[in-house]
Amino acid sequence: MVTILGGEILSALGSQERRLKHLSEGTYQSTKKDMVTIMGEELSFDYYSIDDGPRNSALSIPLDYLEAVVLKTIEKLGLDSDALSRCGLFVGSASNDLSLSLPLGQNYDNSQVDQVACERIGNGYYADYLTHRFGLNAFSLTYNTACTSSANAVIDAAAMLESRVIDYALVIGFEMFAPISFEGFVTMQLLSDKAIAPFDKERLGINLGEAISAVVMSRDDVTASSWSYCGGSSACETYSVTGAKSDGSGTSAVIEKALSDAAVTTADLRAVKAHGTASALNDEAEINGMKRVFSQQPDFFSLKPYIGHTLGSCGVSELLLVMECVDAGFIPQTPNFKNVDDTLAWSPLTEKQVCNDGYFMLNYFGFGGNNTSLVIKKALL
Amino acid sequence: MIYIHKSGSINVRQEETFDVKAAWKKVSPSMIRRTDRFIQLSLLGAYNTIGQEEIPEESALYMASGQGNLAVFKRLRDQRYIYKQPPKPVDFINSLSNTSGFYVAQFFGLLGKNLNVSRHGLVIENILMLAQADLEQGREKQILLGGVDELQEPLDFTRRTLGLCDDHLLGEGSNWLLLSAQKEEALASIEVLSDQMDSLKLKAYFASLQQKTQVAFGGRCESVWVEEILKLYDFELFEYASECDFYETNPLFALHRFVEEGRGELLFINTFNAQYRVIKVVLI
Repeated sequence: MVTILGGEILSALGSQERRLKHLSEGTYQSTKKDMVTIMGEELSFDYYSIDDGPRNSALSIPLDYLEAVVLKTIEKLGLDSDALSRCGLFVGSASNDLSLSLPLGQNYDNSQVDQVACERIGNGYYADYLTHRFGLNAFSLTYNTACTSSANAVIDAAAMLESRVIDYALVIGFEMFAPISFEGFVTMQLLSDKAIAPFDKERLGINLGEAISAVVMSRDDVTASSWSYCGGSSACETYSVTGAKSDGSGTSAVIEKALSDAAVTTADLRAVKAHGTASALNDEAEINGMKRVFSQQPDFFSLKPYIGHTLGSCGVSELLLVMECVDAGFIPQTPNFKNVDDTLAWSPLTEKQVCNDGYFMLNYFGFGGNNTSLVIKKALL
Repeated sequence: MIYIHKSGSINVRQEETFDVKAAWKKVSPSMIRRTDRFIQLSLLGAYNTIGQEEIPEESALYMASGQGNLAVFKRLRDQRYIYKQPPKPVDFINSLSNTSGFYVAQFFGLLGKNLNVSRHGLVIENILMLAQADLEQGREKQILLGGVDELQEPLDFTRRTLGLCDDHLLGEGSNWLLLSAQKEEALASIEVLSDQMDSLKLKAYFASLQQKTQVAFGGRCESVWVEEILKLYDFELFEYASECDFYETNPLFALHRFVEEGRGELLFINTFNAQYRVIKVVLI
């Protein structure tokens, strides 16, 4: 059995104490407005930042954050050098690696060629750095599958653990502010200039956010845990490159396969962590997908109002938030939900619920037709 | 054990020019409008592997790249910083690394798992290890596994960012394998040895081999070291390098050529940061 040992998350919710207070009370930290000028029009959107620090100004910035999160995770779990040498690394991010993006940006007129060091950079740079910094096992992969990146990394970490190539897996979700990505969402009219309200009748779209998270997985014959990974599924829906089909045929397929892989039924699930981006069509595709599988509405919630849509990081970031909430004895509510959308008819939890154990489904749906669903379990030891 | 059922390739040398768009237009004129050259390269390589044949829709697609679709990133950079324009939606979408995998899946009707991964060096070895785990455990029945790299100008900049500090010739390519755990009708077995080795450990492994074998080496292996290994262990060199310039995923080209024209058994040895991995291919 694949176990989930725990981890650490850096997000707009702040420290663990503050995270749990917000999640318990259904509140979130005020977000800053990010401005963008599109076709002469100045627009502003809520954004969930980790802090007020500068962005994209130095190559060391993401590495500092990443290193701090991984170090805290290792210390929290007490992993020694032997365990780390048996620990593979799986990094998920929707963004291109800044190590190459920055020199590419600076070299737009080809005037900087001679100033670029002869050093392998680009996607995989962070993984390479962390592997050497912490003495990890040689196996590593960096995932770029948009919003499902780190969720897919979790599935593959479990596969590599079960194959016994590695005994531990460090899975990282990583997303920081990227101006081109932010503006891309603006031009596609996917961002909301109001607070994010998943599944609400008046929902207007996504609020983006930053998060860096690290979770460690293992096997029960190596390290036991009250949390386990029961199964999951990842599939490609080829209907549209920008999203799932609103009838829910694609999302339901991956949900069904995840249940089958985990050998559980909908009746076994205590709750569903929805993807819940608050974009009109994605929320519709998600609810319609669940309706095809569940005979009645399950308890479900979205974590996006707490930390924003953290894109490739949300797989691990939201997994850790679910674990923290249940460890603290509750399932969180979905802030900002006020009115039921008649076309959806289903409502997310609007009050937190007492919960200490059970099976949980975690859903993630992304660009590129990438749909992923995980099933995890908390057992009372 | 896992097996190669099909292999296919697009391989372009540094001095060659290849009109990918024209080639892909002959295959599927309807899939040109929203795709760029990187995506078309992905599609064409996969088409050269699968052709018109239908493969089961639940088949997975694992795609690796050394640096991904850099051309679209450059377009977005120029739109933002030079022309002061917002990103064009089609470029923004194509800049997501898994978009090329989406189009390959759409063309072949594949609804299974669809991955896009990268790594500094040994990316093909690592993604093959994942494929091996998934197929051997029965998580996947069949995987279309490819590596795609598009050559970017200026070459000196590309060479430096790949960490190549000499005069390596740079190429581009899109090479694919169709893999499964079924031996029936397979072309070859393929296995990545689970240990990553340093030079000493690798030499001890070579010394332990009982029979004469063919070897091929990745583009990051130093030529002096290759000559030393060939002398020390009486290996026979499988020659593919004269047809192929460097790109991170070109080990798949070497494997494709061996499946096409090799005989017996091949050890493909590749390196990054003084660590080595070995892929073993045995023709059936």
